[in-house]
Amino acid sequence: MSQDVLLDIKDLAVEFRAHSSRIQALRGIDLTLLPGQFHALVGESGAGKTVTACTVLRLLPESARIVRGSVVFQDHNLLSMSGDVLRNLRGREISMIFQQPSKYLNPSMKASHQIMESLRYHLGYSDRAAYGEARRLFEKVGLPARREDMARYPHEFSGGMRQRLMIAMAIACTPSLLIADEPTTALDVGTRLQIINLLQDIRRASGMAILYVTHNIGIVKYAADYISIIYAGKIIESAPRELLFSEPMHPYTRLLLASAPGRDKRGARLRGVPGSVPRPDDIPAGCAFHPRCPIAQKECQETPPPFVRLRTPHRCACFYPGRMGDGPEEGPEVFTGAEFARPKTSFPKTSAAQTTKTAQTTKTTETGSAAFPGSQGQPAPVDAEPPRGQGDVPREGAGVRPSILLRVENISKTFAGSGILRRSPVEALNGVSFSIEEGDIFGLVGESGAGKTTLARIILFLEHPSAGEIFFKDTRLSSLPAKKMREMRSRIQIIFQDPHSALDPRLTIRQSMEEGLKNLGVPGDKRRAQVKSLLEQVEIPWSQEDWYPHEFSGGQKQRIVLARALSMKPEFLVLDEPVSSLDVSIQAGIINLLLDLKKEYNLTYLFISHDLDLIGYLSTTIGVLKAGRLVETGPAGQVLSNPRSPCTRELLENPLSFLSLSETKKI
Amino acid sequence: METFFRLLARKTGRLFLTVFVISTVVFFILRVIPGDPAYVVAGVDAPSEAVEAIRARLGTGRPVLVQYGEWLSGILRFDFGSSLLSEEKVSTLILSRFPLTLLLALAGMGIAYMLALPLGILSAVKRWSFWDYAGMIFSQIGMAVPSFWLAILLLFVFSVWLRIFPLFGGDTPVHLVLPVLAMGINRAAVLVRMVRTSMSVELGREYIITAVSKGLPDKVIRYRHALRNALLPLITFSGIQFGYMLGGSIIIEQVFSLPGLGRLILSAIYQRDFPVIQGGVIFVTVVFCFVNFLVDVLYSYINPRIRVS
Amino acid sequence: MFLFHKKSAKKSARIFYLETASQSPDKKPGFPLQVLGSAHALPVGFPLQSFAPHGQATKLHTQFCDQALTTHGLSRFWNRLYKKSFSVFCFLVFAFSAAAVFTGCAEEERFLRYALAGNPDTLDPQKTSGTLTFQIAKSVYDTLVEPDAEGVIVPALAESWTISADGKLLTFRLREGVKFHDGSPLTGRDVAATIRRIQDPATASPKAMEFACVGEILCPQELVVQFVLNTPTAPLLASLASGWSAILPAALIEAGHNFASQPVGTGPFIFDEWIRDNHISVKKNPAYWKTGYPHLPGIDFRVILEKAVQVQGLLTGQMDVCDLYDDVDVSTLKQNPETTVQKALTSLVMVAAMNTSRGPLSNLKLRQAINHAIDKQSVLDIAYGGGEPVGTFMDYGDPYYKDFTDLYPYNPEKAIDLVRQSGVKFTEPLDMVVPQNYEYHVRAAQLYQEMLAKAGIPVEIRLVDWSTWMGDVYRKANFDITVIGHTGKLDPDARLGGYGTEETYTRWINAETVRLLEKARTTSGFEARKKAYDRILEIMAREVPFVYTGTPYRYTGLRSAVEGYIMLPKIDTPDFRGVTLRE
Repeated sequence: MSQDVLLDIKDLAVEFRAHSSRIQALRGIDLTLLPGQFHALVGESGAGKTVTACTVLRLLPESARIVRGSVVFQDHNLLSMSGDVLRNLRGREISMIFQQPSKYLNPSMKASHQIMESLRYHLGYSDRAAYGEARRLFEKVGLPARREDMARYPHEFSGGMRQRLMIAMAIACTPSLLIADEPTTALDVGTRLQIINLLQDIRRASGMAILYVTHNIGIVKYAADYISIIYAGKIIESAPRELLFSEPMHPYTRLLLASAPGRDKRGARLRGVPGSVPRPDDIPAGCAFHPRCPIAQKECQETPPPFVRLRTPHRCACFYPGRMGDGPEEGPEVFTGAEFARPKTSFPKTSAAQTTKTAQTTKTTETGSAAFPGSQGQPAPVDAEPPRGQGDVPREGAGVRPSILLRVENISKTFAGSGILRRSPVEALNGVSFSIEEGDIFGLVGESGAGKTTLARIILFLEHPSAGEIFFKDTRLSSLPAKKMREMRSRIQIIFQDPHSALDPRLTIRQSMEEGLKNLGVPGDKRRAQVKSLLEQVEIPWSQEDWYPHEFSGGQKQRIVLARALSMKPEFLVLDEPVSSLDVSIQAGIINLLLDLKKEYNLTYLFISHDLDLIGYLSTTIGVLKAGRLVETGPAGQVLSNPRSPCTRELLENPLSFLSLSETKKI
Repeated sequence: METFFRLLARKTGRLFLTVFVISTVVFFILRVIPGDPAYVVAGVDAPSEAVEAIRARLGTGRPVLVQYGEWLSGILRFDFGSSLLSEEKVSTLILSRFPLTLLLALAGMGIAYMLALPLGILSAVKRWSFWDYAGMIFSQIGMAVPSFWLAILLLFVFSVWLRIFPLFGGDTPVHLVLPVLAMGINRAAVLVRMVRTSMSVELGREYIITAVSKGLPDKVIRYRHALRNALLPLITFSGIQFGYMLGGSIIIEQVFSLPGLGRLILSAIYQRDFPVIQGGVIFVTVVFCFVNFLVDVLYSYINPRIRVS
Repeated sequence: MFLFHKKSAKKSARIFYLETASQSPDKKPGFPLQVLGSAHALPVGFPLQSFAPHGQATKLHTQFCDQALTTHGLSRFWNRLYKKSFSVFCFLVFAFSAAAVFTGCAEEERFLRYALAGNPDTLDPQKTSGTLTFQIAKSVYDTLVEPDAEGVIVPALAESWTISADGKLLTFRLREGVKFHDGSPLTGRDVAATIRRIQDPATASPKAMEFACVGEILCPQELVVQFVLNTPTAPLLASLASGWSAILPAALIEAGHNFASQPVGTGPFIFDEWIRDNHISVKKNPAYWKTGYPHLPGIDFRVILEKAVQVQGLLTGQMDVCDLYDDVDVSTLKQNPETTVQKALTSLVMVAAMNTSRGPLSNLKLRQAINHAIDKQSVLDIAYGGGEPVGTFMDYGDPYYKDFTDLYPYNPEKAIDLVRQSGVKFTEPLDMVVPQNYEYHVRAAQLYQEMLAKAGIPVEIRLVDWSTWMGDVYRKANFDITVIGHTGKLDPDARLGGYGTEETYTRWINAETVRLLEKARTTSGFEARKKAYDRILEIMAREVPFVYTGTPYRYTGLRSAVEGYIMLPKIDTPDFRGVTLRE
């Protein structure tokens, strides 16, 4: 290759030995990185992103074996390099940052020492010089650099600061390549932006190249120069950013882009990618994507398509590049509109429903906001207003307005503070009030630590509020006797972010599901029938009823959890980040399912997320939670188009948000 | 600092409660089990009048609650009473015997850690190597062999056969070599596993990958990064370890005829020398609690994650 | 590395240096191991740095203290210690083995090392009945009179004595120039104070009753003391010859001195130190009244609980005298040229005592059956290492012994017959209680159980600890059969006193015995007393509240260097005055 190339990966294949089977993690990766380039490697979980990143630095576990291929870094073949030379390269020329800095930082070593180490070993700095350099690095990454700050331990930093610390560590010896393995995934949107900007600044200043591994398309769109899409251990498409977003060639890329929820897709059904990512020990022959590909031909099942250059500098591994997505049949499906229409329509809502019905074409942001009267300056619904004359409001509107299902009044929660030695109280919630109408999707958005989960737990009576009341259909929950309370519990169900911990690993999914029904007193044969129909509804084959949770993928598990919640015949579902741990393509399927179920069972949702794109896409009402206070509530359209609170505005203006990007794309 | 004192106060309060509960239980158990020191003193030939006279002298004939009250009030004045048989002050007896037991326990722990750390670390670093198997075999055998048996074996080899070490007595450091080894090897067997597990766990943690990616030498990764974190659980464990050592010393003192605290209490139990048993048990309790308190403080000092700020 | 013998160890000691790994090469590390020769003289609890001549160990020590406490230093410290640990370990092993070798070097005149099987409770002879106490007390204290090697009572502190014709006045003339270990001279006042002390209820001596007969005590002259008795009491002289009558200085008695841990007497050895559960040492009393005695510079009584360790100590030369309980040990020691074995008859009577107050054992026929069922010689041979069967409640060597062994010879058939005759039906097995700390009694109990089972008498063994045995069995008679040995006594009254009343643990009641015992106590003259005791022994032999198994032998292992060691009969106490160590 030419001298300009910094890192050149060719036909890299890696496999893992696990017991008797061999897992093909990488099946021929081709990737070229130029100096100073911000190269994003995008793919879903299990696609081989992290393995690729780790192979470069030869950080693979012992069970891994490099089958073939080469990794050339500045004319050095990294794969055949001796240990000492490699060690000299690591941290000095190529360094790496990881997804969870809390785990990847040594918990018992002072922050400054962790930075000073590389300086001492690679550059031979004295303790004093290394300390001075560490201080400079602290300042560079925006960490406070007083003596006592530098002497802190990783746990004393916040998540974003820890990632800054990792970056400081990684850039200590001014490497020419930084490998970033999902460094911002665990962070808030706001912090995420700061970290990306920091990386960009450093890159521009030092000319360091970045290989950025992520599954987040928002980030890629915002920051990357060049993008490679990885699927089942192979790069299937790579192109400069603009080219990829304007003319995606591979069907997978196209579907991936279509599955990301966005406010601009309000009312439209998410596309998603059918099926799921193949398991690395069972990769289909031919094109690995063919079982999920809407345009797959016979050829695709037999021959793996070559990774070819289409027109400079776009490369794609598909026999029919760019063939999909132009025709009307492939366009995003459209909602019937009933989705957003409330069951008992009130006067202003009727017009909304009509508007949606008339808007049969692809919705734009404008039509979406037009669907909601709030955005046009009409009086906001009762629930959005601060409490006024609480006692008589529901009664007053009972005939005409949709009845209020859940009313939260002035909830505050203060924790006594944890730890053996520190006991300062922590204020999690402060005077939160809102109400949710029947059939609503109330989207609660806020950064981590804003009190979202605490609120969810209080609503589910898993936690007692320090002050305030919760009314469910006008029943004051705190005054309910224990027996009634148990009955009430089945009417309010919750879905958590992590489906793994929600299912007992020792029970088959049928046993898991029947447990709740048993408690409700449903007889045996009926139970079975109910479980069957519910599983069908969430698209889990009935034949898998006797499988154990670990045999399912994350998305399937979340479906099962959903089915189990439905078996209790709830009226109200609290969804606490239900799709945050899932891949984009899977996420779309679950969201679609949620919307279908809502319609079918006449459910009301409280949807909690940090992802404004998602909230903006599916909510009818949005509440913005910031540091325990509800800073804004209102109909979705109004909040999105005309935010009143600066916090909301800040969220909306985040360039990592898909919406803002899709708008920039149009320009 | 203030929090430190609060911790100290809390621990002290708990200590007093523990001591009170344990001493009460011990006191009443001793009164319930058969056997009266008066009978031991009287021997076979004394007529019952003599037994009554002895009982009056020892004070064991009085109502139990009166004895209990007297004893409690004595404790509050730090007066643990006197041995019924040798008439020496219990506190003097205990303090004269404790240094040896303490030395045994500490030296035993020293040996245990000295054996276990290198072996455990080697095992963890070079898994499934010769050293690993050697460590595991050592641990397996060490755990299977009871310490008194090991003690007798050591006696046989080093004192009877090779005649390097004396058979009995505790007058000089030489006398302590075999007992300390017997105690140390036994505990080391358990520790090796702990060190190995702890070290393997730490070596498998993510921050090790970071350290590797920083291009640090293996030695630095193992000892500066992994070992320090691996030692943290061992520090907590060492308090309990110390308790084991105190308990184990009873048997070892017996086998090697060492005049330690364990044997004092044991022979007091045989002779039903109530004040000595009670005093001894309280003393051991206090020592054990104190050591664990020290370990807690040390741990919170060394582990930055729970350090007192 | 453990294989050095005395000579080579000294040689090699010069070669080995302490390795201090992190020292810079210009500082020559280490020091010759020879310095450590004095290590054994350090007190227990020595600090580690006492070994280091140049403060190197101290440095290590402070490093530990300083660095172990800081997180930052911890791993560096461990790195260093890790490197050092092996060399430190080697150093310790060498240090100790070298010291061990030097300890082995002979001292000029060494103490006799005597193995004690347990720690004595006290060294106050008047407040205990423990055999261990008297084994030591004999060397520290003296009595007015004492038994000689044949058990005959001879003068000790009293050079002569007379008994008045009515037997109510005993006059002792004390030896001149006898001094207590505290320097005060022995006078009649000391004797009087001692006897008063035994009688004093505050002392609560277990032997107080033996002196109940003493009324006034007179001191007509400095060195003459007279006991006025309420009734003539023949056994008193024997009591005065026993360990518990040790004469203590009057001044210290009045001062409330703690004889339990600081004994002061007139004995051949002066108390030196007592490290409990470890050893008691006594050193020669140069001013001992018996001129030319003792020969030894001192005695080291070593408390060694493990019998095997005692024997190994004897074999390896770390011990001079110990009792033997095992046939194998006896033959090993006999074969070893460096050791000898003394065999002598003890004054014990080994019995299986029966509780005649309850259950089937109140039936005489059954007790006779049991006596027939047991092969006493076999029990003696197997459990007790050999001995002489006795047939009645008196040890074989005693002048008052009378042979009744023909009365109930071993006869299993007759035993079965007698069980049938007794008409006893066993609903539950007999409760045989055995003190678990006496191995040979436990062994005997198992033999009894087997033999009785053959006669159709079911027995269940229950092991108890010594305190429980003393209280529950011996005092409260909560048992059917128990296995025990009765120690020797200078006077038959001491052994037989109390029998016939329900005072004893057999609860055996016989009015004639009580009457005869009273008569024998107040009669003087061997022949007259023997007549009474013969009858008592006959009654006891016929009524069998016991199975009289016999008097066992005692085997004592000695280093060949030990000469003149004797065990005084009847009181089973070693006399060290005539012992010499030939080196």
